[in-house]
Amino acid sequence: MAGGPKVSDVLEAGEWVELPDDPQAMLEEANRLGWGDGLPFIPPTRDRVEAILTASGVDGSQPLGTIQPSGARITATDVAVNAVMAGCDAIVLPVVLAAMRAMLVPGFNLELMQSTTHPTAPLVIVHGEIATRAGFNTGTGSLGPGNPSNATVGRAIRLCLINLGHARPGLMDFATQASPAKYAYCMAENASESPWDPYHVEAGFDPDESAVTVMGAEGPHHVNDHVSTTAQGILSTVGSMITVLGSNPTWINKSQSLIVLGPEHAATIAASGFGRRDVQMWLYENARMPLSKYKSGGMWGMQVWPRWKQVIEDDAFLLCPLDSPDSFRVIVGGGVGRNSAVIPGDGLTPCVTVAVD
Amino acid sequence: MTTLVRNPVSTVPERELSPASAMPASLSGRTVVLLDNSKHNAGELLERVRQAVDQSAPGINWQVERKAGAFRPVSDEISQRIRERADLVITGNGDCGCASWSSGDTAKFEREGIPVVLLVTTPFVPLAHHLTRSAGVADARIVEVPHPVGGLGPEALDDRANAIKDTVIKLLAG
Repeated sequence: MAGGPKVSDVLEAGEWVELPDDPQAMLEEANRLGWGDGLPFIPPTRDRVEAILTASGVDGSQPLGTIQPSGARITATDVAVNAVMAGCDAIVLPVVLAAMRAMLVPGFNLELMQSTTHPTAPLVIVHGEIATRAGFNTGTGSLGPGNPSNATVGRAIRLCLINLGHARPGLMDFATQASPAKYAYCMAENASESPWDPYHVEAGFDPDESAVTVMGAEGPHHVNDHVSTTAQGILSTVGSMITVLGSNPTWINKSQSLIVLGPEHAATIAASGFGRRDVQMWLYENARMPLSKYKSGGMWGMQVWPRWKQVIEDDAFLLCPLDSPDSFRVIVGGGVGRNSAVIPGDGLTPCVTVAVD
Repeated sequence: MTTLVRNPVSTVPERELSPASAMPASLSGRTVVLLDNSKHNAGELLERVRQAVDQSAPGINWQVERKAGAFRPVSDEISQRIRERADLVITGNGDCGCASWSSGDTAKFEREGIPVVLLVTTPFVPLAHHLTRSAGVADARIVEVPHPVGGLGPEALDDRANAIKDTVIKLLAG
């Protein structure tokens, strides 16, 4: 493995702590120390951290960047320690690292994401070859529990944000109610059941390349449409979950919202002749509400709108909550059922797709 | 029996700290910029602070700048105007995670030698202190405002301003 000797240096440079062997006592001590998410964990022993780095081929000495709000400069080893705690297999460590790197890029706005009263959590969507090779769940229940890859990648990221970023609830993380998505929030695209090109291909990657999309997001909003037989029908229901006052994309420019179409909804939409762009255009043109509704609450008066929205004065004018068709990011995900999801972005962070090394 | 594990928690790096920039010896004739971070009632609170300061220190040239959004750092355009015109800045209101960016704005101007008074509501005061120190400011002038400020009516805002005006005036006096 590249950088072998340096891994030990980086590992040894950290602090080592004796914890009780008994799992319950270990958890209690870790909670007392302020580690983690309150759940049991795999102890990050020297052997386990070295093993995950060796097996994954990751250079533990590589710097990732500065994480906020702690201001700590972190390495791949620091992430690996938390990945071990989360129960990650070595095969998914590169996925965790890719997502963390994406969030540490200046401009992602991790500093605000970590401290806001909004319940934002980084949604990680896995695409391409790694989704298959690492056994990510792309179908039924992909945003829920049960799949080790989905679960441990999501949890590893949260542990990094708490332990490395110091975003502990009530101390630096002020999410008012927060959300279960802050435990773990990872899914894989169901490209095999999509009528369109995979999302990462449209983002410029080759189909076989591995990539992750990362976006600060609310938890998923269910879209139940059991009766529509056309694209317009299903997208009307989808649109009803977008024309809301309580989500940040309504108020903050450059926001995105993720539209996770279940395969059956996607098939119906495609049967109407709609491509992904048609979905985006239809939603932008039709998921609208009058200006008067915006004035009734939410963040009216403190909205960050593009200039062309700011100059509209007619209360009857119909405005899409999002800025443009491109603001709707459309993927196919999940399994059987005439169910989809709208996942509003937090308006604070971009939606980025990056390679998994 | 115990198990030896690597501490998963990062260490906050040591920072080279500088004291906050000195306030002008006298405020008379000075330009004070009120930097409204656009949170609800931030401008109203700053205006009440302005009125209170005016009573104790007349002769200040007040200017108002308003960020396009509290969720991002102060723009280059506003920053340039502040550099050109301001002898000091009063900014706020940090009443959510936006306190992180207001703290960043504070540290930015302090590093450029422009003293800043930062208004932050109670829950976010530790965050503001941590972030300004992380950015190298040893003792940022952070004024604790009773929470909340957003969503309040005029009388409650009067109370908020009355609760902090003496602190602000004292900080401006150096």
